[in-house]
Amino acid sequence: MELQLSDEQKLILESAQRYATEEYTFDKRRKRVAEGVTIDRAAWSQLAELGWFGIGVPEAAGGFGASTIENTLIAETLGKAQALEPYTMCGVFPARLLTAFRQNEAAQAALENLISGEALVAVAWSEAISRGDPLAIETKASRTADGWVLSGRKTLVVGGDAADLFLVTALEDGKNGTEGLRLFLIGKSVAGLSPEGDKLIDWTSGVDLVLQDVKVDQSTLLASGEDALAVLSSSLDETAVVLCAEAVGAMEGAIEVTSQYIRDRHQYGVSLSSFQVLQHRMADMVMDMVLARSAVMCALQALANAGPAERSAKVAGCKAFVTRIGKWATSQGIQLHGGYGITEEYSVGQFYKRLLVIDSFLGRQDFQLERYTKWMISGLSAT
Amino acid sequence: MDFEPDSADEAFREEVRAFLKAELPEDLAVRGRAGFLSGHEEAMAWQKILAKKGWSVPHWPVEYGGPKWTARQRYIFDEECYLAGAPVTNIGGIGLVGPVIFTFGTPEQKERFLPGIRNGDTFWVQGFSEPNAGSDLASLRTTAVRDGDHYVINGQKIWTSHGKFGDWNFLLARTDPSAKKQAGISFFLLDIKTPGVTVRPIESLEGSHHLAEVFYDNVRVPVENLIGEENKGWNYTKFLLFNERAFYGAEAPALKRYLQKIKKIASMERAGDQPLINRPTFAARLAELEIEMTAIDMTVSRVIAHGLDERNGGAAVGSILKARGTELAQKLTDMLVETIGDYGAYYYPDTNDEPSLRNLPFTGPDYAPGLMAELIYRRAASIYGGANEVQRNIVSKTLFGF
Repeated sequence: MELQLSDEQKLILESAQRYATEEYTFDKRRKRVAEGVTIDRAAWSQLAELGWFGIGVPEAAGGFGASTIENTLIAETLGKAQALEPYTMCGVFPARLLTAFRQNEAAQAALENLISGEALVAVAWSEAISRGDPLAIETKASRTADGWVLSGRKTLVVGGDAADLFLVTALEDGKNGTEGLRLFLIGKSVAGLSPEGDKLIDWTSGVDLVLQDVKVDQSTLLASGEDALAVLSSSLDETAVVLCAEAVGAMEGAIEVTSQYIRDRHQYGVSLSSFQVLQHRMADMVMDMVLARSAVMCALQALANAGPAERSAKVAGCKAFVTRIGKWATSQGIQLHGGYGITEEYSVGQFYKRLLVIDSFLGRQDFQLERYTKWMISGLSAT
Repeated sequence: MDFEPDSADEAFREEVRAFLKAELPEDLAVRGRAGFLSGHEEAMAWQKILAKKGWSVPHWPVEYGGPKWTARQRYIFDEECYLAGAPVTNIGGIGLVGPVIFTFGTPEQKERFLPGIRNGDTFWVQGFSEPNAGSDLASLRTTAVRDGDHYVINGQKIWTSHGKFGDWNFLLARTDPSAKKQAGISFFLLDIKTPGVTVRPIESLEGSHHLAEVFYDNVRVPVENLIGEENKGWNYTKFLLFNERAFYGAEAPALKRYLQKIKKIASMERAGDQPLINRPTFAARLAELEIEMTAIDMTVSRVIAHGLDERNGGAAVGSILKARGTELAQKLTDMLVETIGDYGAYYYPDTNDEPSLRNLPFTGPDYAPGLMAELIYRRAASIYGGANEVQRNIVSKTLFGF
């Protein structure tokens, strides 16, 4: 076991940090938010040029090899930089799904275009009743002579307002559970497909996707049943770990700006940093960040070594823990900024809002704790 | 100690409920329940309705239009209003400056200003904090210099809630630059339309503009708008801040409304084929919050019933309730957002702040807009009215003499 970054991983991290420091400034971000741009395609292409979408994709599939570890290094950096681009949800998540089904020509082509930045791919897997469970859906897929008709409403589709391609899950009419699960790859111009909504509270992309009698060819079906579920589950787990790394980056960012703020801010004639209560608060925030980063490593370990049940449980544990302490640590960044913390004019609040959004992705506390609890109890009865 | 319900209180509760049912307009209630802060329109409309009934200033003495309620009745009234979704009235007027005026003001000031507050005609906004005077309020730098029959005010205030809606502004300014900190401050009432006043709204994290900065550039305030004596403003301010903590600190009725909302929504929301409320990992965490809420509520009831004593925290109880009440509100609003799952991440514009956006279609369930905004406002609750760190200092100083 080696718990340090390799030299290559260090290089990736350093180059990501360099890029982020140069490209992502708070002023630029505010300007983009004011313009109402959720995903800037030029910025998206730059991430592609850096090779960040191909990292974690096997070379055989047109990627650059490496693993989810490298994805987490990039996501952590982007989390700290408050990038508006949905690297994890539109860079990592769909790449995992497409890689698994690349025997399908359209999937392989989509993957290549995703890696090159030419195509933005959104995953429409969640619905109001899902809360993290990819089988808890109501969108229907009905067979026709030469294909399918899809109808339903997908929620929290990141990139849905700008995507070229959608990966969409549905249940085949008349079938339930795993047996009925279908995964489609469809283009944005198909009739009956419409994004609905505005954006998320942290000003990043996220909308509903409404499917109204969407007619698609048989060739758009990528996977069914057990095959579809196994890949969806492992991809969701990997994506969740990368999201948690992003959360760690946001915690680090909040800690950095807050420590500077309380050093500079004077009240009662002294620097705020001279108050022990604030020193201890910051100590707790940084302790949480260190533990959060370790929790991400526990989950990476499970991705590498564990079977599906244990893997999902440990990822769930990581997500529940990191989002809970991450919300707390970033909220304390606001607290220590006083009134300035709750304004758009200071950057600290954006870290907290990012944590709120990460908490909402891929299932919240209720779902993650339930997954972990069930696995924990099943382990007891097995021994 | 006995726990027999008081039949007079229960009868009063029924009376309040009947009034709310008859008089609270449905559109105001819908907006009130949504979670966005009440704007000017909501506050003033509701205040006028209450004034007609004689209920608009529950804490005021009878001679100034108060309804002569007991502390328990006031609490019941607040609770029923919250649960019904009634808008929050103009706290700056009714809760903060009104009592200062009737306690320290001249007969002319009382006659001139109290009716407008009571009847919902004048919207008052606060001018206390400054960019470099937050928790350390006494270090404020805005100045007022006497010039004939006027004072001339120069400086800047910040965190003025509803600043853009303000008709009148009560503010603190330094009248004696040589006196030490608290000693040289005076308390003024200012018509916000006076030349030289500029209000700049501040964008908050949830996207609204409820807060504002106020700039004063050679603003002339008539001498008769000074409260009490020159340089004694700090005394009136302490009185006001004590009222703020005592009346609004715990906001126990708001805690009850959050719990009620979470349960209602979690019974409608589904996790797969089950109501969300049936999920043990959700329900157990909610139960913990409810249990804490009942203890806070009982603490408030104890203070209402017999004032301060050593078993309820004594003089520190206001700070105890403010710190713990606001922190519980933060946990509850976080849970409220969790309840709506994916839609908890969506941005919904504040239609009280921007009435032009009202009645536009939106994505998600009817109850989604406002929940996230409320979670974000609640981050401010542990900052305003004396940050919770300061409240904890007060608690340890009061109870241990540290």
